[in-house]
Amino acid sequence: MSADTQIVLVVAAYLAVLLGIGYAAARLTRSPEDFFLANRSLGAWVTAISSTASSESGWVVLGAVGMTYTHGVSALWFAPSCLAGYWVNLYWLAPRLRREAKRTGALTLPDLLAARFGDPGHRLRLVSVAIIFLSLGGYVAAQMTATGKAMQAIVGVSYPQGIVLGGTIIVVYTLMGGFRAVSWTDFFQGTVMVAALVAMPVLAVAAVGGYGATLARLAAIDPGLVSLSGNRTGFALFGFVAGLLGIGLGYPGQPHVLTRYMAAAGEAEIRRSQLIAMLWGVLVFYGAGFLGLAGRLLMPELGQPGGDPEQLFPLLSRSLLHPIVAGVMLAAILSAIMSTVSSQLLVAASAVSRDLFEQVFGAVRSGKASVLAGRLAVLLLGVAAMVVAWQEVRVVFWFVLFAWSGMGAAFGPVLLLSLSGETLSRRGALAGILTGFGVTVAWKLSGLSETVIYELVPAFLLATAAALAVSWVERRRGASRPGAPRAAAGGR
Amino acid sequence: MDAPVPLATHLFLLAVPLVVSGAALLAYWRGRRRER
Repeated sequence: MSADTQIVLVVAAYLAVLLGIGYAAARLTRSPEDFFLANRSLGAWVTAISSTASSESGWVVLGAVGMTYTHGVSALWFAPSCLAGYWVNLYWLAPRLRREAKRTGALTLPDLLAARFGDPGHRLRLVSVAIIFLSLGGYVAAQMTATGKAMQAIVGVSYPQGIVLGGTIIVVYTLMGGFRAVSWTDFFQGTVMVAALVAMPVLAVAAVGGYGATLARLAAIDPGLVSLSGNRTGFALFGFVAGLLGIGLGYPGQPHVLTRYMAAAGEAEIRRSQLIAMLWGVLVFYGAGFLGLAGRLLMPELGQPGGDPEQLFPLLSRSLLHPIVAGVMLAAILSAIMSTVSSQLLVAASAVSRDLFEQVFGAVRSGKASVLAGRLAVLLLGVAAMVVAWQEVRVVFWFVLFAWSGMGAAFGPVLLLSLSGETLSRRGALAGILTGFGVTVAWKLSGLSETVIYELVPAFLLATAAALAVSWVERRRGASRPGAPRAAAGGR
Repeated sequence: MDAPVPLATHLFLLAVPLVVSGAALLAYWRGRRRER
């Protein structure tokens, strides 16, 4: 049997496991709480690994590896930043979010915001839904593109066939088992990812001659590759490091990650999931970094014109490993992409079916109809994303540029402030959300992201200021009117 | 052909992941003790 056939068989087995998980989850899915939040029953391992796997897309196995290959150790500034984002999410936001979601019966992030701030005119919900839909809808389409390309490279099918094959599997298991299927498959995929990102860098660093030899040989090529500044000075250094550190600010605002905490079974599960997720993050981020560093020495040709350092992981797997093991490594790449796209697909679909049709329009009246509407939304959105990816509709991919930072700046500050006990008014929350998303878009479009600093940093700070300032003004106004009701005080 | 590597780089690559993992373990143990 040829090496390619063995790899295809391993990947086919991996895809079959995903469908099997989807089928098993479907048998347990009856109510809207099941479909949108796995009946709040996630254990520690699934909460931890599914949340981290869904937040790390193909970027960590392809982009981050390529970045450390190109820039050396200085590119790894993203790792402490992402771990800080994990820490805030897991230790600070997760327990509060779970309690609040259970108290209010919220199934989605807009549900939670509406319940916390009161939302009689649905403005808060509509704005949140629009931001989630624009950001995640575009993201899903872009991830379908990545799925098609990964399938093309790994299985050897054409790009459109890759989209149809990968996309159909994602849509089918998400549609069948809803949140439970997405979480279980994410857990499986996250486990494959961490196994690959521990094994590959260990093998690669050993092949170079060990940790010390890897760094010393990189230093011999260019001392900038092993310095924390990467030969940058002054404002260039500040912009580069602050930009990488800024990535972590996005974590508290990602709805597809936050819903995992809302679905955790209890406080004890959250506590255990904190440790598991932090260790997962350390292994995955530093694994990707060390792989990029050692890969620069093992495959220097990828840094030459015509080479693509982001292809280091798949190419090195094929060259270093037995085809069956290489198949597992390549499944890890698909895992990184698919775990993110299924999570985002479900959240984007729930924004339409649960938040828009059910809560705003009141068009869905029974639990059964709610699950059906959710499934229909997953199907329609999934197929639309596949068509967009196939036709490469550029305008949709435009939204991807703002997805991480836009949602991070829109929802992160408001959630952090509100759940920390800060008295935010409904208008304050709305101002924070709109400012966060608006500043992200404006900063990005003006080109300041490339010349000054990553858009998430100013957008996050301004959103925080806007939420606090508007709430403060409302409180003052409320206090100056005798007998006037206090501004809606964040549901506390 | 080998060249010296700054100490800060070793600390960044080895100490940061160790400290983060250690802090997570410590937080977990403290939480468990409180549970009991």
